[in-house]
Amino acid sequence: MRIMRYIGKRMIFIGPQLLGIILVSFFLVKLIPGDPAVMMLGPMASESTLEELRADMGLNLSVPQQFLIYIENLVLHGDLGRSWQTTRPVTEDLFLRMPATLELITLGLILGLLIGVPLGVGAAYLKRGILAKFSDYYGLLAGALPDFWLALVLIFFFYTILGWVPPPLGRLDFFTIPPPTITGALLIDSLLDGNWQALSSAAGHLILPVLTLGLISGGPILKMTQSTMDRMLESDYSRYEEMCGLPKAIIIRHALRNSLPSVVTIVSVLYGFLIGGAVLVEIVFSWGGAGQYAVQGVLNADINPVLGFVFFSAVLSLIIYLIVDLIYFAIDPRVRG
Amino acid sequence: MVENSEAGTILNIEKLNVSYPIYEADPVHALRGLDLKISKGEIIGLVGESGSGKTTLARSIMQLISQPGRVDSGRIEYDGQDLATLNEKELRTLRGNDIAMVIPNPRTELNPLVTVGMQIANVARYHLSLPRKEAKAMALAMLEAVQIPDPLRRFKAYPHELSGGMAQRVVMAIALICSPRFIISDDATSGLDVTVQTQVLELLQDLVQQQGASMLFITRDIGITAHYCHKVAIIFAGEIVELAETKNFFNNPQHPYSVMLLSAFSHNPKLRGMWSKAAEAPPEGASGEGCYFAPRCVRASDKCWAEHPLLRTSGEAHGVRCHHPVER
Amino acid sequence: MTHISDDDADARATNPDASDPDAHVGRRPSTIGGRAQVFLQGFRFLLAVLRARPMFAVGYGIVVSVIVMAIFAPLIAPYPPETANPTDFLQPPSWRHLLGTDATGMDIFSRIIYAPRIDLTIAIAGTAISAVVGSLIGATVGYYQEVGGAPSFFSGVVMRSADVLQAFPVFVFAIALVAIFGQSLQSIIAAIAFLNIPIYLRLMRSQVMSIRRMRFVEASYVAGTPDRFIILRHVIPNSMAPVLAQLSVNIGWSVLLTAGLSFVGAGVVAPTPEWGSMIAMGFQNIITGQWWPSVFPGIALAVTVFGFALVGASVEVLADPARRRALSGNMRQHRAKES
Repeated sequence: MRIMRYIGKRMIFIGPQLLGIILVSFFLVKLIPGDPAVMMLGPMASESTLEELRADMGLNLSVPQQFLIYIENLVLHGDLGRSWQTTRPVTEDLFLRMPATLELITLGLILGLLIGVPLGVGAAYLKRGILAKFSDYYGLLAGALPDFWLALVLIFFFYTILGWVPPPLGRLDFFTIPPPTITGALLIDSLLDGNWQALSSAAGHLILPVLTLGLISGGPILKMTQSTMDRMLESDYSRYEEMCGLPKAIIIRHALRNSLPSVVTIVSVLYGFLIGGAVLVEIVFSWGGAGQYAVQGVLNADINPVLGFVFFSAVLSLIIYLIVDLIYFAIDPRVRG
Repeated sequence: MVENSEAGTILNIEKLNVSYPIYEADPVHALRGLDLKISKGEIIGLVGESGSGKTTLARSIMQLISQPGRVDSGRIEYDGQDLATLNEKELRTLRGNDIAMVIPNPRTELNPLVTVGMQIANVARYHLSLPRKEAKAMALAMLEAVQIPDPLRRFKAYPHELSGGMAQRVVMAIALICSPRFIISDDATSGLDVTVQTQVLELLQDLVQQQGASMLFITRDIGITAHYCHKVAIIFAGEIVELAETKNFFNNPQHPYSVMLLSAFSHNPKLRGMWSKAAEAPPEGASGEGCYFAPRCVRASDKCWAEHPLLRTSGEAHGVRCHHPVER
Repeated sequence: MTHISDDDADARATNPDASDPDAHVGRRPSTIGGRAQVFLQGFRFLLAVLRARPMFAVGYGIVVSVIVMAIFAPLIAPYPPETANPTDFLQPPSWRHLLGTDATGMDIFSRIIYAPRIDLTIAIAGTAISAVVGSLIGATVGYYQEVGGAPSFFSGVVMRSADVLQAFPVFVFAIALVAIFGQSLQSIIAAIAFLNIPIYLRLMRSQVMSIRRMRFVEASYVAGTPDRFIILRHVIPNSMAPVLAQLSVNIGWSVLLTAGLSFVGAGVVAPTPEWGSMIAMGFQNIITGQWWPSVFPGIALAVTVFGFALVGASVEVLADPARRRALSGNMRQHRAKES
């Protein structure tokens, strides 16, 4: 039950950490200029209607008071407020958009792993060959390419010239009937619904954005895998295993297992980053994801979506870090103490 | 004593030169024209100080010299085969299986993520092509043989959970599980408490002799060799400077360096002081071709600075590399 | 137990003529002439390294070219960057317009050359500020971390704040900062600086914490040297290496971020030439087949970031004595083979 105690200890910190994040975001976002009332009702509205709306939204209270109300709504009612742009509750909006982003970045990172790990292992093992050089360049290049630009280039090649993929307009073709939302991930939902048309449509639309994210995230994953494998293969125990005459395949397998914690770390960092960082790709493909939602919020002084998004992504990040620590627990006996 | 015949030789090293070209213009010569012959069933103690070339010799036999070191010339024959002619696959079949090494400070050399028992079993699995279950049983038997208490539980332990002495026994188990014919023990007990050291050494000697294997027992502590070795070889500056059977060596050490090593034990302060000396620069006009020990030798003459001594064997198979060996 | 280790004598005995080429390291010359000589030596070494590792040379070349472009833009660019010529819109690359024109008729080649002025200014300023501020805070926090009492509590607070800061989605945070401070050069610089402070803070802190444990720092402390002297003279110089490597990479990353911000319209205002906003302007055109307004700026952007990343990688190798030695060992072998 050591695990339970460990999780328990972590949970204690989650509350205050979340509170801190919401606090900072709230005051930060309140600093953004722009009067929501004016933006909602238009410049022609009369002053009295504006005042009424402001009172309604609680904008005439002091900022700390507004904060307390927000927290109260969040904790007691699970209410994240309403977006004046979409006129829907933020929780509803996010429920639609978060899965879109998560589906995208999960698949993107899986692709990144499929590219980065084998290349990294190969480059570490065959130190001086072409593969090693190629990996070096790929690693540096992937970190240098702007993701939104790569997305555009891929669209140009595969859509404009080759016509192999559907146009970059959202997650489904216009005329396709979406499956009922269970997880929010279109691939899973269409599978569960037996809706093959939606499945193929969703998959087609996913190809390019996932390819973009995969190619770019493959870079850091490759570099981390390569440098860690390098270290592990140079380590004392790898040399010892060689001295005992164990076959190369075993030595590499052991080294890879020892490199896993680093790979898990980089994937978790990338994951946390991409929740908000995939926004540019989302914009290019009109994906309707969560990051896009938040960005629109900031640009239009629509506070609740921004706060809601920050809250959600913070929760997700904390969950990710917890999962990562549990993985360490499972892999490395030294952590178990 | 009868010299063992050629047919009984398991390891034959001839004029081995190994250097580390760290500075291209001035490589570090780790082994210089080293000769050594080990017979089957023999345990030879190799004594030398840090930097004398002991570990380089051990790694050269395993054909695992660390980069950028390289063999400049000479040959190493194992059981009649020149090791340099073998390819990587053949070498891998030898390592851990026929030639095994027991290393010091094993806790950092064992894989931290694999249980100790599996690490022992893996060696048996891959060298003897055993199914997993059988290998595990063998490993368990090995754990008992090296006298680890509560072997069933310890099998599932991880390296960081073991004490130094226990880790040393594990490493011995790994080295011996495939019944190798030749074992190199490279300073295997450094860092252990004296009582543990004695236990470990007794155990090692027992197991080696049980299997009828030969051993190259490398150490910095000359005293140990008296109890565990048939012959003693002293290595200095990359070459063997004295080689004799243990009894003869301790009764009559002939090389000034050997005497210096032994006199350090002496209770007689005058004796201790007599043989050690701070290193001295060569005299004017010295050719640089002389005995490597000359700078530290209390008996160095002009001949010592000019001419490099050869290893001469006197009666009773006692070899010494010195122009003025010490008489009893 | 006998432990005979007369390493010195042994070394001299086995290798009496060995001379250590690195023996001069650690002895700092006190005269200006002496320092100039060391500097020249270092410079010559750098040139040799660049010859040995051509990719590093490429990186330095790129960075130097981009800086030159930024400074001498008016002399290099054939057209003024913000003059729109509506009749010439969306011309493919030709001899008149080397990289074509965009939807408003502006010459892409010239705009690409002018863009580093903005991008580099923002990136270098923002990174420099964050490096200085972050390092100082990080060094202080790292130094006092284990002292206990009030300073250690303060360290804890700073670290938890850094945690909270880093938990923010980077892009959204950047946009929010720009929205708050208004869309200007200064606000973008401020956003970048703010975002990067935790990186240098953590880097410096972990470096300082490990250096601090080393014996020579303890020795200084025991000798009674005041804390800030220890930090400035011993700890910081030894921690510099990873920070310097990070700087270059960071500059590249900041350029990417600026481009991203401009792409969504929260960065540099059009028609100021900036690679990201150029890509944004060409966005719709790419689908209809006019690829040059978006592709060329992206290539320029990628090459620039690539160059900075290479420079950062070279700093990493040069700053680490072990890798430097391995590199010079390889170089010597090459030279020996050549001669």
